[in-house]
Amino acid sequence: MHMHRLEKLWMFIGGGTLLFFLIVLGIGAFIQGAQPPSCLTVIDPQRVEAHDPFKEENLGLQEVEGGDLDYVVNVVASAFNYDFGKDEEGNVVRKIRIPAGSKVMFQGTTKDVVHGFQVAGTNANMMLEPGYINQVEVTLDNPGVYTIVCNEYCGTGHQFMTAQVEVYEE
Amino acid sequence: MPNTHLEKTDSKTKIVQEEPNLKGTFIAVMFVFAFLVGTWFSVWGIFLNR
Repeated sequence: MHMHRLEKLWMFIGGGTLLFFLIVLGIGAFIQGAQPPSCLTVIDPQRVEAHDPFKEENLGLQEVEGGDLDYVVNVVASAFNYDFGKDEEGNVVRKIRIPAGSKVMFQGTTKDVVHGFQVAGTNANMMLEPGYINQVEVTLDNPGVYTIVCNEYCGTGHQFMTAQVEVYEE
Repeated sequence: MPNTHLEKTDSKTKIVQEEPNLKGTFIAVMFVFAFLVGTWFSVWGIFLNR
């Protein structure tokens, strides 16, 4: 079949682009070990506090000794609240303070319906599904106050479901 | 009486197919390509910077 020279050229470019993106995906998945935020870690949604990270005293910001991570933030979502536990004075935590440059893993689940967990303005963005534990790892380099929002419609109080992360310079 | 005699009946007509000019189409395709690559790399830039 006869084909125009330019037609061959742009088909080659199109095919090349496809190949490039497939290679990018392949490197991410098979060499760097990228996976979806949730990798099928299950939990009983009726008894989330029976699971270590979601015990009352382990909620919120936890410093990690050694290893790759600096902090883990444990959160239990429910309509219409993010539970980060309580601070030393017994007040409910609404704002999490993290030093800039920290590598943080957000780990969460939900007691009732599907909720979203997005630290707006960062790459932390995941779904919290009943029965599953979801995790997302980010390095928070840029200081500032970020709003945590629920980005999955969860009911009448959905728009009030927020919290904050403050990234401060040490 | 009309002349019905056909004078030339044995001549062969040569069919020449000219290559269409696709230069403009090619430039349009390159615009689409530049848009796709540009948006992909800018989104990747956002991902890396925050």
